Amino acid sequence: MIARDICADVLLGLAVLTVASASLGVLLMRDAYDKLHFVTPAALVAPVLVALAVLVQMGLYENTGETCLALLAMVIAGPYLSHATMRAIRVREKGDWRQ
Amino acid sequence: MVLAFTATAIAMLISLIPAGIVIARDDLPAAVVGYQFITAVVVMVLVLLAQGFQRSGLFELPVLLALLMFGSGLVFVRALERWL
Amino acid sequence: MPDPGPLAGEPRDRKYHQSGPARAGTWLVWWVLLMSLWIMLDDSLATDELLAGAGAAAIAALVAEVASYQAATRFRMRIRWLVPALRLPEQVVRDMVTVYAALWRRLTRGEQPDSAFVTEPVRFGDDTAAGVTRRVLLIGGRSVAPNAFALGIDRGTETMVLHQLVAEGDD
Repeated sequence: MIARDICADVLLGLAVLTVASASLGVLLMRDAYDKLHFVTPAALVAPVLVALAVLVQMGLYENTGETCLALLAMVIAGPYLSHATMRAIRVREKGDWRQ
Repeated sequence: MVLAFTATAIAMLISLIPAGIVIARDDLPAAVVGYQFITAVVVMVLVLLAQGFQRSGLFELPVLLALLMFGSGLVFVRALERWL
Repeated sequence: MPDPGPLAGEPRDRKYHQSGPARAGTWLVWWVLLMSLWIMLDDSLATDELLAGAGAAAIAALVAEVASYQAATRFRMRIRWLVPALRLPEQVVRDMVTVYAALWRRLTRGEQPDSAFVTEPVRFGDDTAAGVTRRVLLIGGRSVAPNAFALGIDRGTETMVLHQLVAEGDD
């Protein structure tokens, strides 16, 4: 029980660190292209850590399944959303993403 | 343990402040990036609060938000590319 | 505003037309998926709940089918295309180190990262369902790890255009 709590706490702490540092990255980076690279830690890595924390704490349960479903949606959609955003910013700036 | 999930949710909400500054201060493309960041974190916050409050009914909202996050992001991206 | 060039989702010359039964089949697949999602979220097998879910799923499946038909969307998967995905976790970890090292340099020394648009040689392929699916998976797979995002695959030069936060190659 205690080991499970400690493990979940560690995972949650890592998730907070990931999100906090990614947020700093979004603020401090030079332009939208560079800022977008810091969305992935918050949209991909931190949700995995949170889902693992829920799994460790609750075990295989209905809530864990719904958490994993939300995570799966973010993991699958995230790269394509980043791709579309990067491309749209480039088209807006240059007129053609290939330039 | 319940406290840990709630505390994590609060910490993540505080972490959104820099992204909020980006939305308020920077240009439109950077604001869209900030919006996507905030949406992703809010999904996690909702999961953490549902777990923290131990209410299974609250888990449905982050699932739906995660699914809709993709669509809403694409709406902003399409507008950014063509009209704004 | 300059000419936007080729934009995502523009009306395209559709060479592929689905027959009515095929479209009905697509609608049915969507309905099954969405109804399953409803049951999972609603967590109830009461008749009125199921009827409400069936109606909502039917409307949503109709919208999804019409949208995918308008986009002339076709997918054909080959399982071996998923094998490179096994390397993605390692790539994500490596890129996390790269990206956070760049953030550390920004915080401590004020240096902005040496980001750039780069190109990688990638075979464009054809416009069959398998070709389209292959390109979709390539772009998605290349955009998972945080150091690089794919903008697209150029048919003319057979290259993939990427933006890297810490540039690893030449443009």
